This record gives sequence, structure tokens and C-alpha cells, in this order.
Amino acid sequence: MAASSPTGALRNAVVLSLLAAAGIASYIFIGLDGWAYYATPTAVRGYTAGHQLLRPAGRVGHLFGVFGFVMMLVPVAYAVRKKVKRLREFGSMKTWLEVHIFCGIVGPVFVTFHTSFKFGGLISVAYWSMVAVVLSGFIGRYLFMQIPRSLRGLELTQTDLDRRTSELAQWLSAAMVSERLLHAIDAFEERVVPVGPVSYGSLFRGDRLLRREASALRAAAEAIDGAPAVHDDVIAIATERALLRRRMASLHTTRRLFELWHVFHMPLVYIMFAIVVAHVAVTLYMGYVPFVG
Amino acid sequence: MCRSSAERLALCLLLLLCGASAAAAGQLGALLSPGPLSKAHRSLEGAKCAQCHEAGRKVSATRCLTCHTPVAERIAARKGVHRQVTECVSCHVEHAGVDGDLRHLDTARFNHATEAGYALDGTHARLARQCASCHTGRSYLDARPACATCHADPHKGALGATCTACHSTAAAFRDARTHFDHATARFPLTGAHQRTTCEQCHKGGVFRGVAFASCTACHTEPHEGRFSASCTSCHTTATWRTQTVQHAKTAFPLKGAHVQVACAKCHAGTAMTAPVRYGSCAACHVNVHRESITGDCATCHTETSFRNGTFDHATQARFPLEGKHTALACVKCHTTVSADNTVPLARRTADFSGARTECASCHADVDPHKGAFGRACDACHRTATFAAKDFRHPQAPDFFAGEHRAVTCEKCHVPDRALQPARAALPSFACGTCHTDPHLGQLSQTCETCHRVDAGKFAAAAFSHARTQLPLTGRHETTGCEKCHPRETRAFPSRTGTAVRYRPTEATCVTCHTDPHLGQVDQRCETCHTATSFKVGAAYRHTDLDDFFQGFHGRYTCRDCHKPERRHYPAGDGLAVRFNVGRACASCHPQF
Repeated sequence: MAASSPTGALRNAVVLSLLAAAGIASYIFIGLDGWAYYATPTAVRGYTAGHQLLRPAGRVGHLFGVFGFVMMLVPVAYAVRKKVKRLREFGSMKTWLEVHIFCGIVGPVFVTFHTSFKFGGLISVAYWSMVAVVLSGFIGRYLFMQIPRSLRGLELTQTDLDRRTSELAQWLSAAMVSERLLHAIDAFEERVVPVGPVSYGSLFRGDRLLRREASALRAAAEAIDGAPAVHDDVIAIATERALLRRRMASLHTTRRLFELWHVFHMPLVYIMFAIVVAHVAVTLYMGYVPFVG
Repeated sequence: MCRSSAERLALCLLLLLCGASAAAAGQLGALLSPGPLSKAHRSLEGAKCAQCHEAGRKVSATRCLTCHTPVAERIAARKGVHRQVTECVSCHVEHAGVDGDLRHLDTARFNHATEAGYALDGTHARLARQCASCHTGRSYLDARPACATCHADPHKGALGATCTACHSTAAAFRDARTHFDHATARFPLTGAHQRTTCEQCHKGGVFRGVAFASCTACHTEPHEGRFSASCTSCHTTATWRTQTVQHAKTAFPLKGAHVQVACAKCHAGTAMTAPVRYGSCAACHVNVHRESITGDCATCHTETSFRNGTFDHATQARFPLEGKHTALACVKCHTTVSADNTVPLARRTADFSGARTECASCHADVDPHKGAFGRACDACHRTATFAAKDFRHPQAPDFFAGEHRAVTCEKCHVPDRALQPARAALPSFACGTCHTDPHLGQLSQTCETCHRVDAGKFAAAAFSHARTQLPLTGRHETTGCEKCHPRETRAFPSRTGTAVRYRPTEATCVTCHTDPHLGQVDQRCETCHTATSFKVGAAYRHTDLDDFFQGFHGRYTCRDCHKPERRHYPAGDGLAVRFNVGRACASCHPQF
């Protein structure tokens, strides 16, 4: 059920990406005996067995750079997909974002091994920009999830949100629950849904607050009627309604912060690609051509 | 906010401006560099990439060799490590930091002999991984394969520059003595001189001008000039103690054990010039026989060994050593000879006086006869074995055959027993002289009536029951004796004791057999029984009931009517086959 929603799918994409990154790193460290190479001091690393293979211009190390570069181009394609109208029918936003996240996590892993853990010169600016982009991507993902969306990942309109909250309210009222539990649900929503302007800090604390209060509501329901299994659906509906109302109340703040995030995220992407293009150009000019030797 | 395209464009322009500024400042090379150069190439840091890198060709060896001309020369000459090199970066890795190792050498695999043309063998082998021990300069090419490159000359040039004439890498530099061939010098070392340390002759490290024409140049003359000036007439270089003196040419040629004797044993004093009285053995040897033997030592001893002399005991002592005497040690008889092994053989007392040829001289204290048979032991004993096994009683040889043969002398000849006679009173051949009567007087004293000495354990092989009142027949022949003659403890004719009872024994059945019929019939057992079988004979017939056993009753056996019954019988109560069963039909047929 979680994977079918946009937020659940993104969570799965992150988990899958991290597992893939860990698998690739493990293979390089163990399968290619990379640990022995990367753990050797750079002053003498050039004379180890793995140097010809794993050095940045090596047969495999160079491919790491190519793979990383290509994978880092995919997020750019995601941005282009968002901007170009003719491409909007080309795959759902949810799928694009999942691929964006996957390549945005696995690609830097390849790039990191391409560097052979030597970070110096102008290209290191590109590398650390990439790291900053990846880390900020996690924040962006969180903010993205705070904006209510459809299954295809499109933002819901205010009408959609109102209709959904009223539907949930009707389901709750139709449920045969006691008066005391209804009061407890009302009190739960009052504690979770903010009133008035929402600060940036409370935006990041919201999900945790909601989880904690939902647990408290579940405990209260058990204390009131003593049959928790009966109330699972009621608690789930109440929680979704409270979550929706909270995100609606925070929507303005969320969007504003998301814009600010773009301002930080995108320039780093430009800086990174500008330097990488220069790096690639210089290395090709010097004769370091991948797949050629 | 930075969302507008104009702002993004401005940002990119700013970035390009930064790059252009850096390039203008000549730092673009440093910015694009994958890492700092090593100390050796520090001067190339910055925008001098083209010094080493060539567009499209990575790092060009040509450009490296532009600066590294000595290496270029050796490559051109195809010499040394670089003789087949076509590119540099596979061995010399740059951009590995300021401390990057440009001359990394795998000492474990580097073959110094092949690559450098100078084998690190012998004591140099341990330096194979310590390059800096010899290569102290910036370049490996600075070192030259000359000893003086690393070693100081302790001879200060006195022995020339060719160190290898005396030294080799097979041994430590200071151990040249073990490898220097002194035979190439004017004084070849032989014998003990080969074991002498160099310093003993070459004092103060002087190797040239050492006097060697005379032995006394190094050795002190111990003979105070009494012998010839030529030491080699007696001594050789084999060993200082080795003597090549031709003793055979002297009045006392050395033979046998004398050859092994050290000179100083006879020639006292270090100078060996004191006169030796070689005419008498006693001049050197102590007469261990004291006054017992004072003649010529050579009569018994030879120079081969004091121990194994040529002494003939038979002729010279008039007592041939035969039999068991052959293997005896001298001290067994000649008790005055010292057996103390801690004293040297030549110093041990060997006084042979006091020993006589008669047996008692040695065997006096072990005479088992206490002198009863006199002193002529050889009348019975021989030297082959002191046991008188071959002794035969001169009287009654038949008597001493059989079981008597294995009887030891002491069984009969016991001096302390009155019955056993000494030589003056010969023992009687009567059995009772030695044997006690096991029958306690039941039988006569003529034992030989039944017993024989040639039967095992004096068995009564001559006895025959047929001579008694009851000749044994039938089952009695296989009946064990003890069945009728049991071992009893009772009063016998000679005394009360335990013995097999033979008499009185009546020749009646009840003497041995108990009455199983408990007095129902009289004691004339033979009326029904025979010695062949104690069972009632098959031919027995009821004498007074012949008619009764005709017909039907004739098919029945005795036990069909005479069954064992426990009841009162004439001899008492008990279980027995009832004979008197009555003649009424109801006696056997209760239904009647």
C-alpha cells in the first residue's frame, strides 16, 4: 500500500538506491580488491597491483567516471522533462523522480570511486558540489513529499484537497464509534493541524509529531473501547485526514521553502557540470579516452 | 531569488570569469592538475603541463628524456634497468603528492645482477633491500662496483687496490683469512699453521716483511739448544706436539703400548734432555707384584699390553686352568690382587704369593662336607662343573637307578641326621632308612614286594590284588582303589595317624557296599548280584512264583511291582525298593 503512494514509492526508491550503492561499493572494495588500493597512501599507491585498473585514468577507474557522469545526466533530464511541455506525456513524474533519485545516489558513488578518493584541484569543486547536490536532494525529497500529490505525482488542487478531506470526514462520521473516541479524534487533529503561519522548523518536525500523536490516539482508542482491531480503519482515516489538513495548512510555507531549495540546489548543479565538462574536455585533449586505453 | 534565467546566466558567467581569471594568472594548470607533483618536479608545478604531457598522447617518454639525459643515454645504449623502456609512467607515477615516490623499487623482485650488472651475493645479499646502504647519492647510477666505494682500506694501500685477491663476499670482510689462499704467498700454511690466526704472525696488521725463514722467528726454542738447530728434524707442522723422532734408531725402540705413551711420561722436564734408564722396566714401571715375582717382566708381559701377558698358568704355575677355572678372574684366587678399578692398572697391587694348587686353597670355606670326605675333592668333583653329577655309587648300582637317580645327595647324606651315615658308616639300603612308612605298619617292611625304584614315584607296580583274599573281577577291576581303601585317620598298627587303610579289610560285600534294601533280604548279596554288574541279573526268576509270572505278568518288569517306598524297613526307616509287596492282587492292583 505504501509503495503505491507517491511518498511510499520515493521511500522505496531511496532504499533501493542506497542498497545498489552499497552493493556497487562492496563489489569494488572486495571483488576488485579496491580496499587494498584505496587504503594505500597516495604517495606509493601508484605501485600497487590495482593501480593500472582503478586509477582515475585506469581501465575500470575511467569507466567509473563515465558511468557516474552519465548517471548524473539523468537528473538533468528530469529537470528538462519538467520544463519542456512536449515531454510531459513521456512517463509519469513519479517514475521520473524515482529514476532521478536512483541515479542521483548511485551516480555519485561511481564518481567517488573514479576520484580514487583523491580530492584536489578544480575538479574537487565539482565533486563537493555534487555531494552538496546529493545531500540537498534528500531535503528536496522531503519537501516534495510534504506537498499533497496524486498517484502520478502531480500536485493536488485546493478543490481536490477539500473533496478528499470531506470524504474522510464523512467516513469518520459514518463509522460506528463512541462519542468519546470522536472527541479524542477531534483533540488529535487540533494538536496536529497548525493554526496560523507555519515556521520552517515545525515543517520538518511535523511528520514526527503526527506519528507520535497517532500512537497516542491509538492508545486512547484502546483505553476507551478496549478493542483496538475494530478501530484500525478509524485511526487510519483520522490520521490521513489530519496529515492532509496539516499539509494543507503548511502548503504555503512548504512551497516557499521548496523554491528556496531550488535556488541552492540548481546553481550547484550548474557549477558541477561546468567544471566536469572542462575536466572531460581537458582529459580528452590530453589523450585520456575511455574504452581506448 | 535565483530562479530567473538571468540570474542563472549571471552565475555561470561569474564561474567562467573565475576560470578565466585563474587561467590568466597562470594557475589553470594547477586547477586542472589531478594532484601535486613530487619534490623532484616541483619546478614544473603550475601551467607547465606540456613539459610532460603531449596533446592526445598522454605523458610522452620523449618529453621525460628531454630532461633525464643520463637515462636517455642508457636507453640508447640498451644498458641497465632502462635498456628496454619505451614509456615512463608505468614505473614513475606522478601527481601522487609532494612526497610521492618516483623511484619505487620492489627490492624483493629486483635482480641486481641482471639489472645493475653487479651481483649482490654472499654478505652483500643482506643489503639487497637496503639500497641506501650503497646508493647514497641522488641517482642509483652514482654507485660504482668498486670495494672502496663502500669499504675503507684497513691496510692503507699496503696490499694494493685489488681487495678481491684476499677478500670475497662469501665471508665477512674481516674474515679474509678463511678465503685468502696463503699458498700464493712465499710461506704456504700447512698443518697447525692453517689453524693459526693471522694476528699471531702478522702482528700489528703487518702483512709484508714478516720473517719466516726460521721457526724461531715465531716459536720459542724449548730445548735450551741441546738439540739440532733444525726443528724440522723432529717436528712437523702437523702439530707442535707431533714428534717425528725416529725412536727406532735409539737404544730403546718403541713398540706396542710404548708407541702411545706421551714423551713426557718417560722424558721428564720440558727440555726432554734428562737421561732415561731404559734397561729395566722398573725404571718407569712399578713392580705391582712386590716380592711375589721379582724376575724378568718379559717372562709374563709384553710391550703390547700389561694386561694380556704371555703367562702360561699350566707350566709356570703348575696349575692348568681348565673347566670353570678358565673364565675366572685372577682376583678370585689371587685375592691379594687389587680389584680397585680406580687405581691405574700399572699401579694395582698384584701379589700372587699365597695361592696353592690344592682345591682347599680357594674352596676351603665352601666345603659342604665339612671335611668328612677328606681333601681329595677331585675324587668326586671335576673342574668342568663342581656338581658331582657323574658320581656313581660304587655299591648297588641298581638301587641308585630309577627314582633314586634324581634324588640329590643331601636327601640321604645329611650329617646331622642319625639315620644318614657319614663316610665311616655307609648308609643301609633298607627303604626305611630314608623313607617313612606311609602305611603306618599295616603292611610288612618288605616294601619291594609292591614298590619298585624304577617305577614313577615309587609306584606299587609289583602289587597284584590277585594275591589277596579278594581277587578283583568284573566291575571291581575298574573301581578306584580309594573306593575300598579310603584315606583315614585312625589308630594303625604302628601309630595313630592318617593313612590309606588296607587292613583290616574283610572280603565281604558289606565291607564296602551299604545295604540298599535296608535289611529286607539277607546279606548274601551274591544270591542275586554278581561282580560283573551289581544290577539284578536278567536271568533271576522268582523261584516260588513261576506260575505267577507266566502269561500276562511275564510282560512286566520288576519295578512294576517293586517300587521305591519310604517306610519302615528291618534295618530302619528309609527309602528303598520294597520287596515284600504281598501276594494279594490288591497289593499291586488297588482296584481289586
